Amino acid sequence: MKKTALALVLAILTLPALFAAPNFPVKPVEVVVGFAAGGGTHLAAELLTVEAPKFLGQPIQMPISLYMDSVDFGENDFVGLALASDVAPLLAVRADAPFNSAKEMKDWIAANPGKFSWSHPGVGSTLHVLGANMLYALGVTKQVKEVPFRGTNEGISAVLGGHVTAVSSFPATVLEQVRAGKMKVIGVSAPKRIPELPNAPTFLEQGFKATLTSTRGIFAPAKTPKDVLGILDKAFAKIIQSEDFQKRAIKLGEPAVYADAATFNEMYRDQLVMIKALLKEIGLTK
Amino acid sequence: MEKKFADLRSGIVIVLACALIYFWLIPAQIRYRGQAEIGPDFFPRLLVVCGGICGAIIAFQAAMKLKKAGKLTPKALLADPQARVNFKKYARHGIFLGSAILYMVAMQYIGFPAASVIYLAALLLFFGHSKPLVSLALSAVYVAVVYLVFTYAFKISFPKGFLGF
Amino acid sequence: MDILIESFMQFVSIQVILGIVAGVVVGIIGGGLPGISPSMCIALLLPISLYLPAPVAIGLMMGSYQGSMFGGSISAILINTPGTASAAATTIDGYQMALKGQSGKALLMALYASCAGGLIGTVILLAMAKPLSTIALKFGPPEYFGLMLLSLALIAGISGKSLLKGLVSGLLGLFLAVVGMDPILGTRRFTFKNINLADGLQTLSVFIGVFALSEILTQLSESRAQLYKKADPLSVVDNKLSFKEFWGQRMNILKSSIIGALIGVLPGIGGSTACFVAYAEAQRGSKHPEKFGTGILDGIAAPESANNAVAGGALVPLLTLGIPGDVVTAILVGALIAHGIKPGPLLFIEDIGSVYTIYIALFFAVISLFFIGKLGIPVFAKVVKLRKATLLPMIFIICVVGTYSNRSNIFDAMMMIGLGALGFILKKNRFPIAPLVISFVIGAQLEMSLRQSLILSDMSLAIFFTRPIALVLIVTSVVFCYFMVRRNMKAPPSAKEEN
Repeated sequence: MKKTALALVLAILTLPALFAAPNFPVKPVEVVVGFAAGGGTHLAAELLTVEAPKFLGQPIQMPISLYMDSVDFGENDFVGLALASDVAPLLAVRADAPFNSAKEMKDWIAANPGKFSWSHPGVGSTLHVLGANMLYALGVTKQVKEVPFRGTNEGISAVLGGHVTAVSSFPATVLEQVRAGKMKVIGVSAPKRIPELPNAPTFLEQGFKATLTSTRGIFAPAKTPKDVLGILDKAFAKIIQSEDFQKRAIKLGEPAVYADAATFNEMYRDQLVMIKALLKEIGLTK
Repeated sequence: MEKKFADLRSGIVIVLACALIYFWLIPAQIRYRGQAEIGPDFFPRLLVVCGGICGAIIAFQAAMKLKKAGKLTPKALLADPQARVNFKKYARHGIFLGSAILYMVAMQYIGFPAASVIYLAALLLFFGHSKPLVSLALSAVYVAVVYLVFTYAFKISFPKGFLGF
Repeated sequence: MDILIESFMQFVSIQVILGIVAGVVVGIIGGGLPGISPSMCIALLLPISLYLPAPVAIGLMMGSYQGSMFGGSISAILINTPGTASAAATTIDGYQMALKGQSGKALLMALYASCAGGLIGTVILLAMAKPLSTIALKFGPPEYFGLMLLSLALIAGISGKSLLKGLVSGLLGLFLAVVGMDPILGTRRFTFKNINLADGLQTLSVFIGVFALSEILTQLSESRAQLYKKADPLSVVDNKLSFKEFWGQRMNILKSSIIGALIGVLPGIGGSTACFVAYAEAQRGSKHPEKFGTGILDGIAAPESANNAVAGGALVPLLTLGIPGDVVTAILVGALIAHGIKPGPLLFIEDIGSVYTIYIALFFAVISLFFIGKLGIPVFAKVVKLRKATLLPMIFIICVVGTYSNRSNIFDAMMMIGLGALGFILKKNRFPIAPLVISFVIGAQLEMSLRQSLILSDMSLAIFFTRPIALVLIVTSVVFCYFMVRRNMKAPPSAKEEN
């Protein structure tokens, strides 16, 4: 179940057991980013550091390039502290593709067997799972070719070059392409339309049940003392809801969405169930 | 002739290694039950087959040359000192590599700075220095500089020991 | 034109200049230290840059980009340890020059080639960004495969007479690249249930192990007294680089810079491949190809100009398409967006001022690299004056720290030890080690594009022969191989080969 956890984890606080509330934190708080430096998760996490001294009393430190993959962990090793963002994935194609909506695409795939290919940034990645979910909702999983590329950006250039038909992506990565009229969005996987692309229809409104989104949040080790969790919960509430954070998050193309520890944990558990079922359905787990 | 003996040896080792990888390592280490036409084991198998062929040619060419020189008989192979690997010559290499692994293991218990100062001082002596104190001083200064540059300027966190650094 | 002048004027400020200089210094130091990659340097500067005005921030980043590309060559030349992945090709001839007592000359060549490459890369970016980006998009999986094949053909060139052994070494490199996750299906291969291997062998562990550690092991065969001997002051024979020598490399540098910039344009290939291709082309076009690998200027000028030109190239898809070509530019995207610059197809239309700012920053970064490098080289070159008994253990500690730092994982350092032993055994049995490193670098991409192509074509090989660019690349690699092998067979056996 490691992949599922990866899809949800933004960052993990590592707390030496020595710390005891109520003077926590007495040392800088270490946040581990589970993804490559410079990636979306890293940038989002950097935003946390700006206001940390003000609200947490200590700076946040981020050791660079610690790969989450080199640590073995399970879904129960961490508890959620705060939701920091909630991003809807979408399916985009080249602007001159012979279909404009999810329904047309479905029909085109049926009429042209073996012609449709889509790219994602690696088997088991968030965008793979989310993209597979969209195609699963369309009922075309069996008729499409799946071509992984390293990173969404390579996938986008393959779509622009006409080497593959579609790419599963987050809005920020394709936004400029869509604005420039080089690509178009077939559907967004979200309960409602997203502010960055108000003209892009959701799959839901086109009659397909794909609403799964990608959430980023902060986690702490499950064995962290309750009072420390409480302090962190309050601090992150202030940081993420601060005006400065919101402003910077919008600049990054990922508007901040906040939920406190309790709500976030509930969400995390719900998504675990949903994603587990999906992974089974698309053959990633048994 | 030593060269040819070495080639014969490498050729045989390559062929054996490739066979071992092909028949044992690949089935044991690549578990794939999907239906993809080109599975994850396709590329490694292709490489190993090519490697095996190259190894066989290397061994064959060397064997032919040795045969011409009349050295390809069991007796000649056993008698000729050039046909054997002189492991004694590589004792220092073995000690060096083994101690390096120990150093890395120790680092995780006593921390990077302590382990490195001790190990580097020992290495300096091993490589040719003869004064322990000079080595220790050199080692301490060097490790301090490396440690400070990597931790403070480049934010790398090294293994910490029970002493807290 | 007004916008260009306006953008230029932004740079005539002490703040911006300081930003660029700081970037270059951090870049050279980070690049020179094994384990600190150019992308780590930039990632490190990223948080700081968020607080700086846009031109200063961009200057800082471009400075460290250019600086680290040169920095990698310092350790490659002096201690046979490529400081960055892009400097791997420089190690081949650079260290040989240092052994001949020409380390200062080699470093100067690296600096001049880096600056020239950086400038040519910038000019290419300035002049041809749009058409190049169109060509870059034409590169799909079959074309990438062709390009990887061309890099592989280089092995034939550097293997010399022992083609078969070079081939074995190359196959070994490809095999090492297989370790880790399958690029298409995600199946774990040869990971021995060890989570540290899930990501494969780290490039740095391979580079440092095979180049640096195997060299330390080779030196260890000398006696302790020999190693403790003071470095002979006469051993430094030649630390100057005359203008004539530099000028003699002009065509090589120009060609290599163009190769670097063009490969930089293609997303996902990266500096080290560009350098190996440039090296191969320099060797192919040379009048004395057999001297490559023995320590000649050509072998430094080619990869060093190529890797700095990659920077200009990698910015092409970033600025024109919004697609970053490598890890460094991927981080750069974040920084640019945070400053309100949105890289994408509309950037040239909506915000040409920012585009110019980036060009000019790159230009100034190259200029400052020249002066800072000039100041630094005499200091760096002192390294060779140390006794080997002092130098080698210290290099070893840096090897450990470098491989560790990349992922903060001691396992990578242990792998480096194993790979070093492997490199040493190969060397002892007279297998060339450069092919291993080259094929390791391209292995993952080679397999990935091969399989991507075959998925797209429903397993038909025709996809490689029906697309013009792919076909040209594949035919070129075969022809290249053929000529290199023929020439190697004819060439008189070198002294090394004889004894």
